[in-house]
Amino acid sequence: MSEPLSDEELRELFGRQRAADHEQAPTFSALRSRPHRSKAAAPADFAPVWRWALSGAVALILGIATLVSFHPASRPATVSRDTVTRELDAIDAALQKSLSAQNSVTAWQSPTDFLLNPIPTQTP
Amino acid sequence: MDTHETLSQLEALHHDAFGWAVSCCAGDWHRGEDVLQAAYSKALSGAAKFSGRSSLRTWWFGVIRFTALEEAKRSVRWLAFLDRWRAEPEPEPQAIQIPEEDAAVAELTRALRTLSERQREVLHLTFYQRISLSEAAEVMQITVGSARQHYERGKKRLRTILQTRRALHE
Repeated sequence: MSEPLSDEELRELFGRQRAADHEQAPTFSALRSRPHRSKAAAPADFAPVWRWALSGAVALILGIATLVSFHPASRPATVSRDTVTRELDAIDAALQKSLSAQNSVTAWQSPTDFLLNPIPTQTP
Repeated sequence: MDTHETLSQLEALHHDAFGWAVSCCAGDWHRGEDVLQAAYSKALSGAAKFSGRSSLRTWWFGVIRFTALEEAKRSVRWLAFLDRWRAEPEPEPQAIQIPEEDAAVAELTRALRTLSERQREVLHLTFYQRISLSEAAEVMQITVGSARQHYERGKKRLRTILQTRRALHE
């Protein structure tokens, strides 16, 4: 076991620490003119909190959106293929019926056609 | 004493104040810089004003100590909150970049970290800053008797740690 350290040895050790600190310490003017880091560091510390809060909010919104989109009330009822075919056939039949009920375009006469005089034709 | 006069006198104390700020931050160099800078801001803005009731050094060291405590409380509060959410461990405080040949100083810095805050403070003030125990008590805002107790216990513990490490290296 080594000899116990005397007060003088401790003082000498602290003195060396002091000299090492003095060598590397920033100057007074450098410290005063440098941008304030501790105040600026605070938002950096808080940043993870905001990140957590933001992630939480996004997750919540996505969750609600997913819930709403998959909710049975918001989805249209599933229709079978046969029903769709039947409906399309019915629409087609109604259209055909309507077309056949209309007069031919060539037979159509305007109510004012009688006002037109026949153009006299000149015979040589 | 006006602000500019105080600042010019504080400039003379700058290196000692820096050592004290680093000690108040358990040897964390970067936090020490931040603390000292915040203390300078207080002196410049007039938030901390020297009234002349004690020596300038005692007053200034008290301001630095108080600023360090404020910063520590703030970071502890947030770190405690964040630790609930994050899994990765907090990185070790950055050690002072001591030249490799002075291993004894590095050893002392490490040993000081194992002491209690009061013990570290009183040993720094008496051995590093070479101020009296009564002045140290004033800076630490405790009685001289209490400061002496921390001094004796801290010195004993520091000796034991340094001796044990020295014996291990031999």
